[in-house]
Amino acid sequence: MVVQRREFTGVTKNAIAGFGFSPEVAMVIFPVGLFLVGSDLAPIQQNIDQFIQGLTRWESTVKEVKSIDPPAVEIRGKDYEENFVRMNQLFLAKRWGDGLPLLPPTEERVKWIMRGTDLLPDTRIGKILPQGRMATVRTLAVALGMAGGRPEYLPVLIAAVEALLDPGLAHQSWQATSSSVYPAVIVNGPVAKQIRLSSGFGLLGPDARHPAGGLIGRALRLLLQNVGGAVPGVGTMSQFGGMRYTNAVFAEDEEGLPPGWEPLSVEYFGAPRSANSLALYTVSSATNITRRGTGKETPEEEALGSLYRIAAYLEAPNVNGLKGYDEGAPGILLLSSIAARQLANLGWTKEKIKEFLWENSRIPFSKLKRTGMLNYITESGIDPQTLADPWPITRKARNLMLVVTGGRHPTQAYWMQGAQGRKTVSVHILLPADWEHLLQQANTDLGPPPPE
Amino acid sequence: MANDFVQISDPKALTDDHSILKVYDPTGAMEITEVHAARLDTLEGKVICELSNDTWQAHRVLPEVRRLLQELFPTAKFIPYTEFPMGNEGIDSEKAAGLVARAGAHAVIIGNAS
Repeated sequence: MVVQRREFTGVTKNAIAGFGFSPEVAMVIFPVGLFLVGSDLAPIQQNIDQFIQGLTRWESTVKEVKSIDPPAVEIRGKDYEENFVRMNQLFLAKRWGDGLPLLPPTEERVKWIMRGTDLLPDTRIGKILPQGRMATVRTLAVALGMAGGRPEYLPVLIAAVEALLDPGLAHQSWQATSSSVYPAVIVNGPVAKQIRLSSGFGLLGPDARHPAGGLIGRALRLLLQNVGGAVPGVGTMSQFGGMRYTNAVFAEDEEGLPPGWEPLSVEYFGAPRSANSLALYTVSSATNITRRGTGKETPEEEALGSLYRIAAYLEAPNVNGLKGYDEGAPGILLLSSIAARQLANLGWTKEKIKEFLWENSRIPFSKLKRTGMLNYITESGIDPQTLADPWPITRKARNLMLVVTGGRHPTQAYWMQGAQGRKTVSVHILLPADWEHLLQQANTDLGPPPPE
Repeated sequence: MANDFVQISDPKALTDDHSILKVYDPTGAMEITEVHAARLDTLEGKVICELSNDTWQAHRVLPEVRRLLQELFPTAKFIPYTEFPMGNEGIDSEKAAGLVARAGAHAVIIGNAS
């Protein structure tokens, strides 16, 4: 049995379901006050019978193992428009939506979406925790259909869910946490441009010319909620939520890479160049950093000043990032092609930039103590006597993710701070045999691809 | 709203009737592979283990629960949370499960508040 606070009962039921039990458990529930420093423990005595009840008399409503496929839903109204509205109302009432309009996941729409893969509809991708319902190819197609997606987005969504389920990311933890964690997905390879995934201006959306990232990310969010149970305030206790309508799904600007720079997939994960793959890591915030100088500096002064300024943003007591200290990323730095080329022309390689940022974002021991970060580091199992002073924000410089992307303009950089993932994950994106035909159909439906 | 829709078992029977919209439930299949343990007849003479996430005052709450139950069931044997791995990851481990099993636990109380 479980001792729980009132607001977290949904999280507990999800976790129990994730272990394969029916979503119920004997709980003794108290208001949050009991669990705060210096609390009055008298409510425990007043409720001791509930502990006894939970251990001796509580009964599960489910007595046997079984698989329950949710039945389809039939909506009746006077015409299609009324049904469309009613379906959206119903999906909100059932906590299956995100508040924005959803397209009906009809048999026809879902079949159309599933043309984006050669996998069979019932192929199991895995259980999305903590609730632990099963995500199949069909489940993913339902979410993508609801989100407004297209068949050619499905390969990226499948790979993203495969990445997300990697045990090293411990998604059951960040799904339920009070932190504002969301997945960032970076796509490399020709597939990015083929499906109109943005690596340019406004890549985090919205963008009518490049809707893929927003719609794939929205489908991912719907899956995390509907299959994984991350309903705000019930299954996810994220206090602020983060960039969760669409998560962050974008491409690297591979054509804009400076000569000699490898894309993330190659440099960080060792994938072959031009292979279709994606990287997924969990982040908790996003900060714009004005990196350009005032125009009165020399190029060398501007470059150095910009890197020191970025390093200052990285130098943060990020408790949320400690789990990924060894093998995760302290965050993802987005640099535009122009900024990267300016730096490269002055002799800055990707590795040199990462090394510089790593060295110059170290946190003095005194600051670790002052901010209480030292306590968290100690709690994570690290002996404070072994800490370097100043303390590097991640075990090694290569852990930092540096992605060349964004509008080709020199002024800004973007920092997405890492959160909770133990490791970064990369997954190959598998395209269907009918891929070229799908792309032709996209051209017919959406018009020719936008000029870059 | 309750009368505006019904759940059906066969989503494949599409119809041209625009007054009916049939859609998938988006939640995926629920696979129940474990059943909850039967409850105990009494706590007298039983072994009850504690598991702690080591936060939200678990170090005060669990001992208080133990103290009160021990008063009511003097022959029950309580094994404190300090005898097992602690923390969210510690209690969610094969090591913790193995230690609990080896302790001969009849029941487990898990705390706390997250």
